[in-house]
Amino acid sequence: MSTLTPGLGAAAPAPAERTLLQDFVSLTKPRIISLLLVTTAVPMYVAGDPSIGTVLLVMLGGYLMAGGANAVNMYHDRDIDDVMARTKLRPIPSGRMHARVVLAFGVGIATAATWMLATFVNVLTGALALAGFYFYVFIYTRWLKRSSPQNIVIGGAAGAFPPLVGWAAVTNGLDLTAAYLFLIVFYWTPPHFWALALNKQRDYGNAKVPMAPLVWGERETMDQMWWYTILLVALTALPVAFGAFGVTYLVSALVLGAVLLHGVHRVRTAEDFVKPAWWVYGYSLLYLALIFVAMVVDKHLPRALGF
Amino acid sequence: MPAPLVAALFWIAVVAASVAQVMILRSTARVLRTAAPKRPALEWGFAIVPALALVAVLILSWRATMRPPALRMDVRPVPGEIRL
Repeated sequence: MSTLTPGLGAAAPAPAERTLLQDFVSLTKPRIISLLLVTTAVPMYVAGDPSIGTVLLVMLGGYLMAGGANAVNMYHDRDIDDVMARTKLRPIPSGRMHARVVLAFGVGIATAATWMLATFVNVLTGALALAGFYFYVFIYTRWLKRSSPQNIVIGGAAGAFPPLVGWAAVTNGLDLTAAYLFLIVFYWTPPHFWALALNKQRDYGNAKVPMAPLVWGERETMDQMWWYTILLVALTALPVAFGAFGVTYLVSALVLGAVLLHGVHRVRTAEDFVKPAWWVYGYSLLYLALIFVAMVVDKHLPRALGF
Repeated sequence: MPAPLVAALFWIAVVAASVAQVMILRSTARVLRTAAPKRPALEWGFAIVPALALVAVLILSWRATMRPPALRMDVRPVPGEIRL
């Protein structure tokens, strides 16, 4: 499993009073992982009725794997973290931690997560989580991030592994519905991160990260955000057609999607895109969480009501 | 949901997704012409691979949508009955 936020993390607070423990926790980017845990745990309840023990085990394994990927990402990106305002207070660029300690920590907790998931859940779950880790570290961080404006398009696949992990933990397999959960996160990633990239162009420019707004221009990036959002909303409706979800989910997906489309439309049409782009960035986080929650409600509400 | 509604939902979503994917590829073609990347073939690959994956998933979805529903029987076991 990997992170939902290729190459990006929340700004670290001032380092003055931080303890070593706080620094280790910050290496895992806990705020970012919270959404990732939603997209891991919720598919478990869509796939079946897991025990609370299994859910907690998968959440812990998922946290350690994504946290390990984030720590290795901080090791690899320590040179550009130093020049970006948003990241220069992280433990390595601020000099509070040695880079090799961070690398060992990241690899260590990812190894522990693989062992834990493969031993106590099932091998497929451990393998999928590890595949997400490798994808994030090697495909996204080491290869695409600094070489292609489509870095977060392909890199989005790393963040799409968690639903597969959650699904496999319950079913010990994958099916078409699981593929849709993967695709929903995959196609959600470009509009979400390009909304951020539009407002952080100077940072990315300083770090020489070729984000789409810098290479393609703002207009082309906004156009692609629009088409990716239409594709995303269409994909969220399709599982209803083959019976994976019902009307409750469909109505939720269409309403949530219409709001997201409206937000992206405002980014394209506003004279100043800064506020609409921040709005899309924030709302898209809520959107993804609510889409997944709607799946569980749709699956379990009829039974809870006795239908 | 009624079958005609399901079919309509399926085809509307497929058309929307296909149009959006084509527009993404057109936009990619435009930026590759103007931005002149070092490795245009690779950049094309990054755009085409997700499009191919989408086509594969849409075909699988169509097959799943057209599949007749499985017959479900809910017969309570007789006390003492052994089911294999």
